[in-house]
Amino acid sequence: MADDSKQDQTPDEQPQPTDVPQQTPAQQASQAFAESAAAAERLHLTTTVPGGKYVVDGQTVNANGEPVADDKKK
Amino acid sequence: MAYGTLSSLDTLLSIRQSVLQFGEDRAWESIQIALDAHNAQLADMLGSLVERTTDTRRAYGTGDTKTFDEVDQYGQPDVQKITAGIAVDFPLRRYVNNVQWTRQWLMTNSVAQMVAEINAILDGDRQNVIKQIKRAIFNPTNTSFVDRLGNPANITLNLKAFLNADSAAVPVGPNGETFDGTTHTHYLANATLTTAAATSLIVAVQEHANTGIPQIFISSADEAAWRALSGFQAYIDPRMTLNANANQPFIRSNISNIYNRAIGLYGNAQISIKPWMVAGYAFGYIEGQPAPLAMRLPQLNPDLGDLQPVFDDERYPLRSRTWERQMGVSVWQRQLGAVLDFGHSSYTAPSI
Repeated sequence: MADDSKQDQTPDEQPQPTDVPQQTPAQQASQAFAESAAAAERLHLTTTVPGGKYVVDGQTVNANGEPVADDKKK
Repeated sequence: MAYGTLSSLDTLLSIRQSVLQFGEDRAWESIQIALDAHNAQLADMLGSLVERTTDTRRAYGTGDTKTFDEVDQYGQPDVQKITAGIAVDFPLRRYVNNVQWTRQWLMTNSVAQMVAEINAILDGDRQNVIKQIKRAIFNPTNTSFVDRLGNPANITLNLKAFLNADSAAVPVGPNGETFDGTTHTHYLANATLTTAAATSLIVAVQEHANTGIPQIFISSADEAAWRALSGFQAYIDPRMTLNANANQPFIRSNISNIYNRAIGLYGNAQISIKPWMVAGYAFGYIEGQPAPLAMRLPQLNPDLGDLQPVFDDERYPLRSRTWERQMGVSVWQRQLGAVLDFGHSSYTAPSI
């Protein structure tokens, strides 16, 4: 999501030098855009990598029952 | 099997005639009453813990929040949408006990013998239902299930455990709290039973509901350990007088029901001993919220979800080949149940 938003940026929305005293409305809008993109990224949690660590039948597995390394045995 | 002060099979137990001499119809009449009572009792026992349904799949985890961004007159924030719901599936299995009650068997066995057989079947069915509920509660991992009894058949279903950090979305809390699906787990573990561990179990289910009473089930083997927790308030034995100068629970302890009773309060939760709980584990859920588990029944004929004899000729129901029940238990509300393992440093699934 964040990558898509960067591709859509216009020259006006590019990061400005720090010595610019006042932001234009377009810049302010780009800030809002960036914030919401981050929020949307948080909401669109698409990763399906299972976490968790449980012991089932003597074997350490993740949330989907797949074997994972046991920290204690390292 | 006893129901309160009466037993619907008592009459039959006293009969020493063979089943055929006594009459199959008369025997079946009493057996059917006992069977209906058994099924009604079991359905009632499921109570607020297990919901009976014919659904194969339900959407879960659709609750989410959106953020409002501050903009000027030209500002236009990015579009937001809520996280997609997660499908939670329920299994359907056929559980069978073979009997092969032929005419020859009915001629050579007494009614009392048949009642003994039926009592054993009813007990076996009850044990099996409890076992499936325990499996749904204590298994911390998501599993696949090929739905051979479903319509359409042979669809692979995804059975979920309670929240187990599998990265699936978690519904927002009652006050807008968000939970990290990659780390949020309801399978808690601590090497010993401590006040912090007990509190974490209560919080685990409480933080997902805006109303209801947290219930914690424990094994009678762990009763002493829970009573020893600092802050535990025991229900008072009815043979004792209440101390008028102290804050004591007004609810009296059930002293005769040793293995199935509420013993007191810890924090906001009521602690109850259940005969089916595994020693070293505690199960928490919220009473007053949707049931955390679901029992799936056959969609085309939900009656098959009750225990019943399977017979070829409806005129002779006792000449059955098998007794069976078709059902499956799995987690439904993933956030409304949690398990605490207080015998290991990491959650270890018990053998069931």
